[in-house]
Amino acid sequence: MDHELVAAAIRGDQAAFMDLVRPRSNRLFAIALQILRDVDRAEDALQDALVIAWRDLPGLRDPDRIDAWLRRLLINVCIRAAARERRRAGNLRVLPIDGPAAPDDLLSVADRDQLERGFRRLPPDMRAILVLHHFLGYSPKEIAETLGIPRGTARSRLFNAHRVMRAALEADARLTVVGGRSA
Amino acid sequence: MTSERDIERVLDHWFAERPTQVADRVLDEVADRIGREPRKPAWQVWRTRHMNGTAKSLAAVAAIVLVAIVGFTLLRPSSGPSVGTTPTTSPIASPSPSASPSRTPFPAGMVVQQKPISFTAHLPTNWINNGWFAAPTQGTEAPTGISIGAPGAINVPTDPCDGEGKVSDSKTPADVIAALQARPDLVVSNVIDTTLGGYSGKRVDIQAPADLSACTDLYIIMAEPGGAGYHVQGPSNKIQMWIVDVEGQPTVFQIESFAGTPPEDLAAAQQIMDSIEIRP
Repeated sequence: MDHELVAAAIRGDQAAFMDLVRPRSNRLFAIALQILRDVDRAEDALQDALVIAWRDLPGLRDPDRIDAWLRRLLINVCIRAAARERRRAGNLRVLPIDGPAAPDDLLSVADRDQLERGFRRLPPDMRAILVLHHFLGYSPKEIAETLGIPRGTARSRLFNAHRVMRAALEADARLTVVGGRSA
Repeated sequence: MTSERDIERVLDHWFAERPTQVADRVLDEVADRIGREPRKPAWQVWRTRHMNGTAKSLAAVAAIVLVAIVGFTLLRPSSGPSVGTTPTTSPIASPSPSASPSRTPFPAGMVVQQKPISFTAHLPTNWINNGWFAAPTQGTEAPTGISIGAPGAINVPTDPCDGEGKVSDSKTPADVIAALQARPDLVVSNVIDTTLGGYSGKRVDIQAPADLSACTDLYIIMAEPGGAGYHVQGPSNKIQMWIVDVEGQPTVFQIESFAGTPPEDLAAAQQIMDSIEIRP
């Protein structure tokens, strides 16, 4: 079924393209939301990625790779969006995506807050790597293939991202202030 | 300390999927936009990708040439780097003034923290603070990467591929140095006394092997309990280490770089190191 939709979409059938992406859209949106931590930005990223997908779909060689291909497109859009977000973070309105914290036997509200802060400090590619690994369950090999980086680099960046997140979790409420700005 | 396995479990839990539904208007907008979006024919998509690959190849060649030129410049005898198996000179204290075209003060306000040792440093605006290490936007990896940080770990594994195997029991900066010197795979310079942030210690340069293929996973310099530890960022990674005694605790600070790291980045890293204030 997907093969037929892909083939029709490649031929220029817009309805087929929408039928192809609609059942995947919630999952793709969830990935964008995990990386960008902002509903508006995640919606924008999803829209941009799907428009790029429509534009570039004729170049897709293997219809069986449609899901991996869409994810790769989306993640690259999210990385670029997150990089822009870092540059103008001072003007950014960021919404928590977790909603009201429910009782949790593993993570306290404070833990979640520290993780959120740590995650937002990460470079965009490290954010994407954590989402690929922990949200999508990708191995370092799959991460490397998705991001187009060497496997060792994927492992290294995943390890470094873990270090940052671990440090964030272990950080106490102390804020060191230098030059009038807080960390 | 939260172990590597713990943080895996915590992050699995934190990222756990919550019901997420994209608003209908988002897909309506996509349908509207693709109706207006010009479509690339397949051959044009392929050509674009092909050209990107060619451009990447050209960029790689250009980078190799640049690395060769920079490497030749830095390795001339007059520049006097000290890493070698015959320790006859001092470690690289800092880049030469000629390698530092700009000595303008960094804007204040950036902070690096590390538990249990906290430290602050002034970072240039193009450096990213990652909590325990900082790096400029081009990253930490070969051939041009650089980073500065305090890995936290102090014990050196005997086997670079095994962070959970036999490790040193380092209680002083001298112990850390001795463990590094005992590693046959590392080129370790001679050692000099130094101070950093008002604390005294040792200063040494290390160079990782050019071939890291002995380890299928990370190539580890310092191990830490429950985790892989601090590892090199690529072949022939150069590590300038300051190992200072902070109230009885050996604490490692380092600058990691490569032969191809731009001199201005090395100079910036040295300035960051000079600005460190330790707050035990």
